[in-house]
Amino acid sequence: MSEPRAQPRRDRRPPKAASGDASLRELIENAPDGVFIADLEGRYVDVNAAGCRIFGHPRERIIGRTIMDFIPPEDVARLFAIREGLLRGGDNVAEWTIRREDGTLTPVEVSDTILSDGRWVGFVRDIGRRQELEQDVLRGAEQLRAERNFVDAILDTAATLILVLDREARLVRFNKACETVTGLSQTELIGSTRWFDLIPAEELDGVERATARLRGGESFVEHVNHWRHRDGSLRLIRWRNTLIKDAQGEVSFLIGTGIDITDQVRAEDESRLHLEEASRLQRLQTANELATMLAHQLNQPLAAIATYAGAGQQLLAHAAPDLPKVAATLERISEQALRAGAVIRHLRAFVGRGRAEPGPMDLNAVVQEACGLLAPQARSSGVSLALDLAASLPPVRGVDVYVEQVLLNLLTNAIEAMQGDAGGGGTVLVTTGEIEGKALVTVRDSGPGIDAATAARLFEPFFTRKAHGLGVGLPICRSLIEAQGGRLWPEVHAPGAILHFTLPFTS
Amino acid sequence: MTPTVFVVDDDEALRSALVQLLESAGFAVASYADGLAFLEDCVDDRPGCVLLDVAMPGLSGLEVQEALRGRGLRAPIVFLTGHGDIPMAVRAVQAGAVDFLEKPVTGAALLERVRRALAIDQEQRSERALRQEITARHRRLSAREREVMRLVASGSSSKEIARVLGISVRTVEAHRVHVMHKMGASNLAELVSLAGRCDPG
Repeated sequence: MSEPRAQPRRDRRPPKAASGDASLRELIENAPDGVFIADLEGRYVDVNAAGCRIFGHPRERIIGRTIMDFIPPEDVARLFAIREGLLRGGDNVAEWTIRREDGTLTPVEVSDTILSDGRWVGFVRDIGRRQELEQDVLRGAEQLRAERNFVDAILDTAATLILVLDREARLVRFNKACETVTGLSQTELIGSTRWFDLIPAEELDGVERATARLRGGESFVEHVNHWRHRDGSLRLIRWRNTLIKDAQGEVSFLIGTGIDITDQVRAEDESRLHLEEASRLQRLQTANELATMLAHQLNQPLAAIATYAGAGQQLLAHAAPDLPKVAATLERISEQALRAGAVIRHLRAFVGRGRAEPGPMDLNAVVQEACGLLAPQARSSGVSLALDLAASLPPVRGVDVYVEQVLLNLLTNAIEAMQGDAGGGGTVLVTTGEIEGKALVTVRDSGPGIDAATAARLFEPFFTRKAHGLGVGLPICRSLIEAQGGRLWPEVHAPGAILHFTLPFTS
Repeated sequence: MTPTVFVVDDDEALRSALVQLLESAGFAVASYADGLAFLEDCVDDRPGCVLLDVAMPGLSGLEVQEALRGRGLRAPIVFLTGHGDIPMAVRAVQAGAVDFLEKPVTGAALLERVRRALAIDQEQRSERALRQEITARHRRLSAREREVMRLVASGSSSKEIARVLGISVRTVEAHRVHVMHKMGASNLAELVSLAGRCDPG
């Protein structure tokens, strides 16, 4: 408590020493609190070093003056009232404001008593520091409250679900978003583990596993589960959870932040179904166009079979049938039957209904199959189909039926683009390769090409350059490729249209 | 001259099957992979018939038919069609094709149609020869005889003819005898028939 500058004063004797033993005198002189002795008029007769320090006046400026010289005028009445009380016996503790020599005011707590010999003794303690501390505490509490309000406002404004649990999984915080999703209020659940009832029974294991991973040391864990609304409906929530630990490393809270993805997942489901449906419709449409072509393709081997059979009958009708020739004819028949079977297989693979699941696929094989399917059409249009396939292409991940559909679309477009030319003819070149870590397929024709204006409109629904055609092909193609994690884009190039698409590798 | 069956089909398997069938049935066959090759080869009026695929790259069956007719070649055409090409086949028949066969077709049916087409060709050829003969005889008649023949063929009696031409019935009768003789007709019905087959001019 003692200050260095008070040190020299300690040795200095007060001008008017009180009677009594020297050690007591020294004790008073060195007391941390101020000790004032006044007469019944309030005139100071003695003061210790601490008193001088608190009052901010040297001893000689205190002794001989009265208490009224140091307190504000408005406190004088109170002083007299207290003095009355003291004269009747007892003591008083009160707070006063002292005007120091430099004019500043300092708060003090004074414990007064009037001794039987008529000395008025006051023990004075500087409470400025204490008041400051008190105010600090008040300010701190205020700040804390403001911060809590601020945090509350943030938690309750956030669209994110925020859930805070203590180490026993009891609910500590359940923000507005949580209340909205469940139809329950924080007050109904706070302090209990009843919030578990929100989770459908069959998903509890998953939630437990996620929590166990957190306790196992992962810094955050993501999982998805449903919460049941008070009205019984289910909402799908994607959670990202973390633990807060105290200084000792013990878990103090679990914080979960969740996003209600019900609508998003539903919209994704719907758009995927929509795409599947659009793709199926387009496949049917394409299949219709193919059907005519395939009927012709199928008729050729069937006609050949019937004709060879007729030739065989002719051979056998001879008196001495040429049996090796008959055998050769039967061989022809079997070849043509296989040829017809291949045509049917192509068609069935193409219109095969059912959820097309993505899987590893040999892109080169799919390209070859699509080209095989369109080879007769290309030939009858006088178009030559050329392939330049990458020698070792890793398997790609996708739905082969979709990829074949996209290829058929691009190839048909290419073949038809060149039919517009006088005289027909032309070449379609299909290449496979690799770009930016993905498999790349490029279809280029020797038709008029694609200018910038056309490229910009190419994917608009119902945009078509064909005399007939629905123009639904390319937008669906692009959606199909994007749904498989790839990209489809035209190259502005003339003459000769160039379209590329990519697909991810399986790894 | 033995008739030839001309086979025009772009499908190699079907083409060789047709060739084998026809040859084993004893026909002379010439086959072509497309219409142009056929037209290049077929410049003279050889007896025979044509088995023609409707849908082919390059010249279609109908275009080949048109080109043949443009050259005055009248070989009967049997079209082979896929089952989607019926309207095209109908147009082909309207344009004078003798028949069309929808693929696939049995060997027997095909041979039967080919025989019929060849018979038609045969018939058409003898008919053409006959017309040439009749026309030649007709040219040998005098102007008055041709006039008498025209009126007789249109059903006029000798009396009516005499009045129209301003000659005696007896003279008309004499012309009629000459006409019958020169044209090689043994009765009135035959003469009427011959008059219908005279090429004009």
